[in-house]
Amino acid sequence: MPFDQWGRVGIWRFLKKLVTMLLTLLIVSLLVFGAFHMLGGDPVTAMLGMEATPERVAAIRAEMGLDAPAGVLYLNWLRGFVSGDMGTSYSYDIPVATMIADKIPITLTLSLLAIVMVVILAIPLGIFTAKNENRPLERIIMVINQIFMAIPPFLAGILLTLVFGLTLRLFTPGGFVSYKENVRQFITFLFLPAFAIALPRAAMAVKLLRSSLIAELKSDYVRTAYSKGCSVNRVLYRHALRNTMLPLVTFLGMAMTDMIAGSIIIEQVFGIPGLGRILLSSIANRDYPVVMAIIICIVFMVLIVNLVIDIVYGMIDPRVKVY
Amino acid sequence: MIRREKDINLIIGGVICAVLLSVMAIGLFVTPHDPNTMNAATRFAGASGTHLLGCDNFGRDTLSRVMVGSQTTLMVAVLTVFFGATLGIVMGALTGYFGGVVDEVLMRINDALFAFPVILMVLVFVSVIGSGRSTIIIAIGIAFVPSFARIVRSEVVKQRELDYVIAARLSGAGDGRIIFVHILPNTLSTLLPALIIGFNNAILAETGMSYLGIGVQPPDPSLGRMLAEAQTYLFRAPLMTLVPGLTLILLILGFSLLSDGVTNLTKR
Repeated sequence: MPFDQWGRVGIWRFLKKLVTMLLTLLIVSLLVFGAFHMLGGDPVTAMLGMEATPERVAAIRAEMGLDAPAGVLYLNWLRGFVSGDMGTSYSYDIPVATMIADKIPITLTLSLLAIVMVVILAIPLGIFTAKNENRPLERIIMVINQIFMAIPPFLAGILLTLVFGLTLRLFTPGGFVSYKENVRQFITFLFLPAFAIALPRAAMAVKLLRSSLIAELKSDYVRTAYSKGCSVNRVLYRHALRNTMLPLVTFLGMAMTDMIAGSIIIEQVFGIPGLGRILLSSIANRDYPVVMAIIICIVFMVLIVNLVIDIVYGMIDPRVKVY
Repeated sequence: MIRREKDINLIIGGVICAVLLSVMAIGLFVTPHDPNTMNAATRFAGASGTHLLGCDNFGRDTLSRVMVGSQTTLMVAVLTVFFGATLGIVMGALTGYFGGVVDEVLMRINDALFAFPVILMVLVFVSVIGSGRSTIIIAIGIAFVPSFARIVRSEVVKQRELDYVIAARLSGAGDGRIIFVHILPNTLSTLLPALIIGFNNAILAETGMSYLGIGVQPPDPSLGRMLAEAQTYLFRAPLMTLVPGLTLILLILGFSLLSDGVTNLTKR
């Protein structure tokens, strides 16, 4: 019954997913906090150096509220997080939230740009190669595709810098412009880094789409569609493509989460001051509140992507609703 | 027609891997030059008779460094996959076979770990126990556990109720024997490609981390480390980037072709 699916039942399923997501986030926060609290060493010693007197260390610990039991610390941290207070950076003595708030859009734009590129590149190429299976041009495309799949994003970034930045001079390496200054230049600069992340994923998506389209085109319902007089394009776009969207969306979801995390490395390649940059420097400085906050933020983004993918799933394929 | 195409994947992948692995194996015993000896006279030297693939910013022989560096990279990948797969397989097999509350709890933890991208997992471990080779191996290994556990679990759940398992049980085989002697070999066709792809992911993660400077520490060469050092001199000495870069691409290409070939082989 369509009403049930988009009405009550759909909402229940969504709520269930939401609860699962929050539960996952809770487990992750517990694991992260536990790891840093138990094994992370003492931030105060790290701050004051080895020569600090025990009295001074104890005083600072009390001042920072670090001498409470672990459970209390965790609950305080969690409560703060929910209300938007992510703690204070040890190294810079400013709220973590203000430190990372203006970096999140950079990392997010980079990942979104990359996923858009994957879609724009992969769907036409996947359809083209499936349609022209075993023709010479298709064979060449697939060989190149296979090679592109094997290029890690950071290496793609380095090679793109070599070709476009240093040889063709179409792009200034390290010339990052913040979105606060000029949105157009910001996007233009992010174009190449996003392409570097997108390249291997797009190649994988082409391969996936091609093989699942070819498999669909051999199935019974396609033959039925042909025999009732559908044109090739109608069969392809109205029937076969619809059924290949499910594995593709699954792949895109995984690719998106990988790209959010992968942007940490790409930011380093291109000198982009995003979340990754602070994360790495905070790890080096043992600035745990910042590290924890960024990790939770990235996991949160990943979970949101998973949730969206789940909703899109139900929209593409009405059969996916039982859970 | 289709059959031939699939064999080609296996052959090309096999050849690439065989060549790279033999070069690495030779590197275990002998390299053209010492990979860590610096020489001011050969700084940024191009390809020549004595230094086949040129030298880096310290005048170290690039070919020798790639030979040793790719060993490091592969070694980390092998240990990582071994560690992650063993844990994942045991966990997946036990939870899939017995089910129940333990299954539920472990699968929830698995979900939470699954939301953790590999890179992030490594970064957590690095910031908690410090950077270095063993940290990377443990961290990537743990990040791999959920995916292997999932694959094995779903296979075991599928096989659990099949006739041959019931027959084995009726003939008096214990649970352990059924899981490890009867069911697990039957999951191999799904597991093997996943293992090979695991190598690729491990190589990607290790080179990425070493590139960031938190993986394999200098002066030990690793492909990622070399790429990071080479980036500064990208325009001046492109060979320094291209040699480890191409090695890395070939390594991943070889393994992914091999995995495709194996998948197609086990499908029929």
